[in-house]
Amino acid sequence: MRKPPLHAIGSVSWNKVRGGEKMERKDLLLRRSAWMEETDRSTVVLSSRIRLARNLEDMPFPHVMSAELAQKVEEKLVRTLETVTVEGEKLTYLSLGDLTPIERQVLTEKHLISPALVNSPAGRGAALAADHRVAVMVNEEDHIRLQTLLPGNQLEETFRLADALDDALEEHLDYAYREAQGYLTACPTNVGTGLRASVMVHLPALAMTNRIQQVLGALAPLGLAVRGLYGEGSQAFGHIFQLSNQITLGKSEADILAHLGAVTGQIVEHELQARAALQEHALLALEDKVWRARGTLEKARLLTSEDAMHLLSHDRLGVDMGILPKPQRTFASLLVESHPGCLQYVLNKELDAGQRDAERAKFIREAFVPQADS
Amino acid sequence: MLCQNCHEREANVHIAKTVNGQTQNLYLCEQCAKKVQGANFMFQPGLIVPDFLQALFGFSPESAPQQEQACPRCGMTFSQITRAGKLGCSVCYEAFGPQIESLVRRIHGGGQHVGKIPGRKGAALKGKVELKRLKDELQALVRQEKFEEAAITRDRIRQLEQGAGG
Ligand SMILES: [Zn+2]
Ligand SMILES: [Zn+2]
Repeated sequence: MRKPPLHAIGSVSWNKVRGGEKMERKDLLLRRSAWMEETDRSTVVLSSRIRLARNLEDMPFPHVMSAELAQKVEEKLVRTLETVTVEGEKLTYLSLGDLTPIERQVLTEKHLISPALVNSPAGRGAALAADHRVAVMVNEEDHIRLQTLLPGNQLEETFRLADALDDALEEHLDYAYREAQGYLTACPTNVGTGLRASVMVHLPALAMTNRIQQVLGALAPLGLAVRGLYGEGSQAFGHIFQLSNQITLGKSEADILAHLGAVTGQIVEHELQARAALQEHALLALEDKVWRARGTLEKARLLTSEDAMHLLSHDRLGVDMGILPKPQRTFASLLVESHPGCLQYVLNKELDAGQRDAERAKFIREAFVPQADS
Repeated sequence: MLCQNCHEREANVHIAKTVNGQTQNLYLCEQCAKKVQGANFMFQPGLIVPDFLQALFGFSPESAPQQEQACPRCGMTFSQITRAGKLGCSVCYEAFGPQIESLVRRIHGGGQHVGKIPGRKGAALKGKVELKRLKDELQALVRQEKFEEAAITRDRIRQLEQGAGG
């Protein structure tokens, strides 16, 4: 029998839950995000993200708005968002109030909305591009949080996409902006460019060689922040870290991007050196580690989120180093879509922790079925 | 190294905090270190918690005056702003000008905005910025004794100034 194509696992599940008007939203949420694809620039740097914070001049910031006012601002912004296109494509607006808790969780797990947005849904939402490379949050900490996300190391392309959409929105909106302070934001940590540029990096070899703290510890004095896969306070499971600029005022966008890009380049270099050192001095131990990870991922019947991320990280290292064949899903897709919200949404039912571990193991096993030669 | 908080004074205090088994380092000047430690500060890289903003101001609820000036647009007072760690609206930036300015300087290190200028709103501003850039360029060219190029730049400055004037 022929093996299913790469995306078949997802599409089979869509068909199962297909039904009525909800389909469009389900389709949008389940679609594979562009940032989870792999490019030739995806080794170590999994994705690049740009976030621009913008506010309306004549409205109080979201945290002091009444629900009524929030809805008014939402209406105004949605009308504007309907008029703009991203590279010829319209965005789809999802009002958080219309979404189930699991749908909100899916958007959070895919990095399309922030947990802060989820906590108080009135008058809040996000406009998404079909492939999720653009997500504009409405009434989060600022009236507009314009986000672009692309796979691999391509900060500048990611910025250009955000910058163009920002220009298009500004045609219709009166932004809060001052000559000296730049774009005004609710929190003074974002004032100026309103730009938070970040890269998601995978650093398993630095972790294995105990150099991770040394390398990441050097970032704070350089004005860069380090977070785990799911933001502030989240732990660095899967050896995934997000690096981003902290200073937003007194530097141009180009300088901020160049600085983050240069430091990212150095970190990639450190990671690759650590990988080379492992290969040279501990090849058998490395091979043992990544093959054990592969074996477990292929056969396990129960996997916690933490276990899965750890094993997937080792497996990915093996793939990157040419020791293991590629699985049938990308690393980012496996990491993100094995989280509770995505698992439950695809299966269209609520699962307790034990059921989730079983479904997670099944989801991962299916991506690791050895591929027959075509 | 400069203090990572005020970006003004030399950093001579090193604070190491262990969060989730990860040790993180903060390099501060003495003044900022005192404020930070006094406020039971939970250090996480990249995260400036409201506590930290309060600490920056030496704010404590008891010392807040009874009658406080409020922002004419949103009605927030400055102690409410420090407690929330967020301003209430764009007018707050003017209403509490000096305090916000000093706060912003401590976070970002004192610079002015040199980034993007919004297209529609900033059309006039863009001319001003271009003029400043050209004047800087002119000075540099004169210093380097590149007089021919300087003359071209000078003419462009004149054009721009006349355009803006008429
Ligand atoms: Zn200081
Ligand atoms: Zn205000």
